[in-house]
Amino acid sequence: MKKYYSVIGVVVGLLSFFSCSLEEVPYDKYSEKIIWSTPEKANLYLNGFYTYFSKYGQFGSAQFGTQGVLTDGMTYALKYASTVPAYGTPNDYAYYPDNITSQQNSLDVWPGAYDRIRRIHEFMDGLNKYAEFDASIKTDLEAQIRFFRAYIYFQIMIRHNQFIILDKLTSEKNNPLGSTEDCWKFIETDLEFAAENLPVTRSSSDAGRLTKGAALAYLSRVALFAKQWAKAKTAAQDCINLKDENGALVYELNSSYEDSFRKSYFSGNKESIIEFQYASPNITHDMDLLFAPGGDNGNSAKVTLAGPTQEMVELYELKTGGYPDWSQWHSTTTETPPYDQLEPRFKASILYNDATWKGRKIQAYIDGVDGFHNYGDYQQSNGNTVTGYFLKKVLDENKTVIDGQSVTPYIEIRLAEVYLNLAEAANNLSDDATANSAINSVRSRVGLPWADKSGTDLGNAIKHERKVELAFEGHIFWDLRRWGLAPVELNDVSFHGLRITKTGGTTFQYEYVVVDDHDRKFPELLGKTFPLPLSELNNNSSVEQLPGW
Amino acid sequence: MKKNKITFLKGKSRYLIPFLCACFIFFSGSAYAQTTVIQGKVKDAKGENLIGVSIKVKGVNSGVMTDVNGNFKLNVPKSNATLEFFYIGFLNQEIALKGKTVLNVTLQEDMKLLDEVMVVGYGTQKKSSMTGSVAQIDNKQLMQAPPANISTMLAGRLPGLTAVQSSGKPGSDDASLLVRGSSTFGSTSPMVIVDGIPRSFNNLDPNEIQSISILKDASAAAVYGMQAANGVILVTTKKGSNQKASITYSYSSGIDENTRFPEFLDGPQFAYYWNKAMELDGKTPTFTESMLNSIKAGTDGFGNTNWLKQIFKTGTTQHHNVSVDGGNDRTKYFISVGYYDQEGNVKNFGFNRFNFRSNVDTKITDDLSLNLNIGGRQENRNNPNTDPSTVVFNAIQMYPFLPMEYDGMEVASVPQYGLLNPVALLNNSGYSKSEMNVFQSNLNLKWNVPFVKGLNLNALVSYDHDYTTSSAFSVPYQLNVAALGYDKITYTSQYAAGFKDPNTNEYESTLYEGFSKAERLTGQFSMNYANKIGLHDITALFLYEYGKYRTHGFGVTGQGFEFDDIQELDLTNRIINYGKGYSGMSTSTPRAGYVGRITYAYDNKYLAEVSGRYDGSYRFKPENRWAFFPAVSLGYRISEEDFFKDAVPFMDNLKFRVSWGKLGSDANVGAFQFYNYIKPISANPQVVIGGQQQKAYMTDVVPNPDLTWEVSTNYNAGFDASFWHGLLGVEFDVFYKVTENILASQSGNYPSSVGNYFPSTINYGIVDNRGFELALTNNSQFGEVNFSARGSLNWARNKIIRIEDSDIPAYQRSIGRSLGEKDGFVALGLFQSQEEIDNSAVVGSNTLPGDIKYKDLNGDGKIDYDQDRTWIGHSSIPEMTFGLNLAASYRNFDFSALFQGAAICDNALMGNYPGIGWDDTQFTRTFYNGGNSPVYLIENSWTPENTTAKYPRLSTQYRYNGYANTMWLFDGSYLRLKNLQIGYTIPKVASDMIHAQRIRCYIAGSNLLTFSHNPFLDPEAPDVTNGYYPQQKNYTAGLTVTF
Repeated sequence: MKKYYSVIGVVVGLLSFFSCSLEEVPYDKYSEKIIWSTPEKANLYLNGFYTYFSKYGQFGSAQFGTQGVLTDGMTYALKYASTVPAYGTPNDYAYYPDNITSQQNSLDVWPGAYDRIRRIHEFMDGLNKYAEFDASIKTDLEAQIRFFRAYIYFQIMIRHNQFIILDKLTSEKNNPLGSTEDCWKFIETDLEFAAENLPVTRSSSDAGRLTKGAALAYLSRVALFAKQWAKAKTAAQDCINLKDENGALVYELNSSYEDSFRKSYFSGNKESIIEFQYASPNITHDMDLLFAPGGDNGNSAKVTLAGPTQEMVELYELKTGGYPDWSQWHSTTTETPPYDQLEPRFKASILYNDATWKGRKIQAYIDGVDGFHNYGDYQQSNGNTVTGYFLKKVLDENKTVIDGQSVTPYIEIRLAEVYLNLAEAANNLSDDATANSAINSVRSRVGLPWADKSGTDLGNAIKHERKVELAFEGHIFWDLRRWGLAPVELNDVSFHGLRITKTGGTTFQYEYVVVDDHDRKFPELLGKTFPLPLSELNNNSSVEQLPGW
Repeated sequence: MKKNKITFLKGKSRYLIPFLCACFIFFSGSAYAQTTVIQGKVKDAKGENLIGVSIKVKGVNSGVMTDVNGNFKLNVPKSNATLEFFYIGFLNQEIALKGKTVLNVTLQEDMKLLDEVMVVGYGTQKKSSMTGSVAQIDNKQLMQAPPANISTMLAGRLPGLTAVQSSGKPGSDDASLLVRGSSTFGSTSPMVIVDGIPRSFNNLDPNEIQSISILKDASAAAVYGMQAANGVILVTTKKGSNQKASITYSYSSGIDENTRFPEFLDGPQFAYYWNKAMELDGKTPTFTESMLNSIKAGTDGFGNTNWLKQIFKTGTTQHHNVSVDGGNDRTKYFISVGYYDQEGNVKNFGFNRFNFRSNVDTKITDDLSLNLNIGGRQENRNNPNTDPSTVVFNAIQMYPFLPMEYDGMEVASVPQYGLLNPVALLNNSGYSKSEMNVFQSNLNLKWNVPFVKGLNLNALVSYDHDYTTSSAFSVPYQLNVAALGYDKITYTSQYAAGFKDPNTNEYESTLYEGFSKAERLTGQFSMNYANKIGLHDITALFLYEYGKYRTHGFGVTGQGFEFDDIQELDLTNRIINYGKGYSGMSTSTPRAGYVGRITYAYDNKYLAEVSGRYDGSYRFKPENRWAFFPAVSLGYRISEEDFFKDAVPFMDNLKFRVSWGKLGSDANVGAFQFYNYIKPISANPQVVIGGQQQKAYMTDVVPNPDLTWEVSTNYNAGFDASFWHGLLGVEFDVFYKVTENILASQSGNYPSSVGNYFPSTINYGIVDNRGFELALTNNSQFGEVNFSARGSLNWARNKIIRIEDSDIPAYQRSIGRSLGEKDGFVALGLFQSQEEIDNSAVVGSNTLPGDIKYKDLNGDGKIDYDQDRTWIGHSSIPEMTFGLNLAASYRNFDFSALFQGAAICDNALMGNYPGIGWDDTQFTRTFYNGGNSPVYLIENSWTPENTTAKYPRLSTQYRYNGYANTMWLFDGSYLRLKNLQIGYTIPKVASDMIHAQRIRCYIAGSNLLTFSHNPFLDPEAPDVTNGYYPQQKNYTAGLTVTF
């Protein structure tokens, strides 16, 4: 009998050991309260929003749906070599704009942007509910997050010219579009709040977070799109004249054009106003992998997505001002094109045949190490150019290993743009003196002469200057649409390149070739808006498709 | 048998021979003191000789078996001994000798074969009194297939079970199993229970398994409550028997080859057709006359290589098992040791496994018994540092006009994305290894309470622990990369893979080492009651179960060795500086439940059962964590009624069954979705602030506190019948099942401006599922031929009743459709002229003759991906599966064959990758990605000279023929000779010479014949593939010796 008691004892002991608790905690995430317990943790949460610069900027994947596919590809600036989806989508859209629909549009960012707007509002909600720290810290956090809200709404605005104005968390499905005017005002208000409340400079431990200058610079860009010339002018001037606590100018044009878009503010490039820094090994980008000429090698996949066209090259002036006569390179010739006589911004932005690059000469000719093939001969570039040129501006010449580990900073906005914003705004306000002085600041850096202009001449000169100064920085497509020029300059045209054949030791034959296999189309409508996505229209009874779509 | 060489006994198995010899010596030593010789013959009631009947002297542990003619001869110590006769399927018999020396014994067939003991949840039941729907297979049937992993051995053998094997990769070639099809959007995997505990069963040694049963209806499965909605598979391992120890050694060895794989173009063919395609594309042909000649001659950097031949070889399998089975009245034991080795037919992919099991039952006192099951195994996977599908992808993409090597270095081609060389991947990429050690134990105490008749108390404690160490060694290696110029080929050497030292820029080797472990502690405490009071049979079960499953793992990658020869983390220079280089994670999953079951039978005629489980899951917030899952079933054995016996005398058994019940599933709900959480965007830093790389956080999923489990309501009705003393057996079940609260995405119902601020999934979907299972059995005898047949046919069709369909045209909505049904365009054939194109709706603006003409379903004059698709094909999971198992024996020969097949399913060569979009594949687009193409596709592609072609235009370009459409859809039904086995039992005279009771040798095969619609790929190939590890055909020879 005793045996049984001991057995029962053991069983009861086991039973109590196996309680019935089903309580568990996750081992890989934190509760919301924890993250709002200190400003340091809240900053880690805020860090997530800074990644938007790398996502929506030139080095990110949001611009055209795929990293390395740039909106410049919709213009004469860049010719994409691929004939198939993703890397070839700019060609597809340029030839067949009908392929842009409310169901399929790689240029659209609507769903992803609104997902971010929601996250921004979640942050603001948590900030109000849980944050119990200094009012000044809370205001700084709010100013930063509202900058990001403006930044994201601006991405939608340039595409659709309207958006649904949401200013807090909501699950309400049916919300109307705001008027264009209200939308611009909403963005401007956020930026103005940011400009008022962000500090002029940051302590070294916060270096890289948004500042007053960032908000002002961005406001000058936004106001230009909104055609709020006065606002643009003031913001640009305030940014240019911004001084730190020691009375020194916060931003200055870099004496080197090349450094102005390639070097970090924190490495002495005082032209950089908003930038996203990269660092090995975790925070890197792919631009070298995606655009390096095939001959740079070391990389296993030679992608070399795109090259500048001859049209782009011909926008560059001679060092002394004026333009070379390109007519003999519009047929077949063995004369070397006048690359050496072009102003310095050309060499800083474009690699051409025989250019010096990484201690070697670019071989942009047929069967050269970099190589050339006719657009359409292969589905992908295989490292070759299809225009005779390679895009240099996004590359790092010091990078010897071509992998997806590039760390050159991405500069979202730099002072030269603010000068050009100022010039354009002032020109539109008929303040030609300010405009002339601003454009001259930009040109004199690269040693180009300037003769004061006025009115439309000045306006056209400013536009031309933007095309060259800010080439390949993600502006041209949006600028052409903003100016109403896209349906003019990009419609019913084909662009060109130079097919180069090596004929001797140092001699080449240059043949002017069409790099498009169809004429490009650019409908008026596309110049104004993109269609709203179907997912919005079907589930939001308060909006209708934008007119014309 | 093919002529390929079979390597008997290699590697570790060579130690088995000395071991076996030792066994011989040991066991043959039992010489007996001679007294009286008894001989006789054993027959059945029909007068047929019975072979292999065990005969034992009562009280003495020695015995013999009858030979082929039913004769036996036995020495007994004294002439008044009693002999015991045992034979499966027959009643045991005892005969007192009373001085007789010659015996003619007739064994009575156990007519209650239907009284097979069926394993059910938390217990066993007699088949005759069961009211639920359960199918069971025993070891003997299982062993008719060549030993592989268990799930593939089950295909076609159990009514109600669907098995689809989509890969042949060693160690990962298990079939995915479905019980009664699928009835939910999410996981459809049945719950697998081994010896009462949730465990995987794929890598048990088949010899360890006593039976496998599947619980199909709610009545059978309700005791597993919230995890039972997809059905339950119960696996029971063998127990020892009350007999003198018998030792069985079995060995088999086999070879594997692909069931099917298409031929690809060779070098000259490639060049010819590529040129032709370029011409059709309006481009200059790439290959000049001199290049063509070089390809044929293999000069100037050209060659002609069949890359597929370079990667596929003949695979081999080996299997050894030794088991000991024995015991006495108080203690029984079953011990098994097994070794399985598989060398894949893709070079360098290998798997091996050691299995060990010891199941011991002992009585501590007359009332108290103890059972200890210990099982263990080690699984070793040895692969190159790459995935086999990548190797196959490389082999089918790579240019066939390249030589194996150029200038002493392996070559590579670059059709579109990256370098390709399958052989280098296999040989040079390094290795990826893992070793998994599994320990499983059950300790069960059972106390027959002496004061209450029929009551016993049980306590089961189970502890499982497994850990896996894995390592991956990656070696940078160079390839000579071929580039096609305008009239030549040039090579430059490049590194194919590898990481660089950030300082020196030199390529370096890396070594990953990882460790993960999992443990499960389970306790089950139960009361069982079984009693017969008059004509009332009552059983009752109450059980409480609690278990906790915990996992933990970490890994690190080191980089840079001075010498690569020893791969040890200690010898690396640093943690790899690409990515974070290390990782770690843990999980903990508790579960609890209360189980109850009462069965009642009156006079063995009227049967009833009520069961249920009150189940809890940690995945839901505390207030709605627990639920009750009940089931009720009734049975009526009309054949026990006297009027029936008189009216239908040829019918031995007829039982009707009905059941109703609810089952649940929490498998598709992630844990902790009921609360707000913030998590790192990535384990790695995301931004640089203050010059420091910093992490970034973001909100996790939008919480949904109301999430709950899926519930399926099940109805089942069926009957079991047997006629003419077992000549014909019929089991038939129909079922209907509705699953509600299925987790469904609701993103399609919100505008994107809401920014996903709503729970992404809600309990919304409803799917119903209906079907039937029919099993027919026949056992018959023609003279000396024993024959049995067992056929089964299953059909299950599901229908979506409610789902959150996103914004799509009405004819694309999935309500009323089946899960996995395929959507796509309707192909109307190929365009034959520009004029036809001009007058038709087309995709984009670049359609040419020879492209697919799609049907413009909404009639808007253009073909839109979102607007013009409709439902074009069945799911790739078959609605109907069937199996026919034939077995026969004649004298010393035995034979079994299993035909297995599927119907009402479709296989798509391309189309939608789940959740990704669409694309062509190598099997549908000529020169896909610029690489090689299968011969059938090229030769049947459209060209101006071949306008009646089956497949679209020959082209090197991307075209719009890659959309999912009817042209690339194949009827997926198939019939296959799944297994075939022919065995021969060595005559007793011969086996006696080595003191063996029985020696049987056999040859067997699997997937020997396949009849299907797609002649190029295996019918079980995954939908939309760019290359995968093909299914295998296997030829095996084996031997079983019992001492």
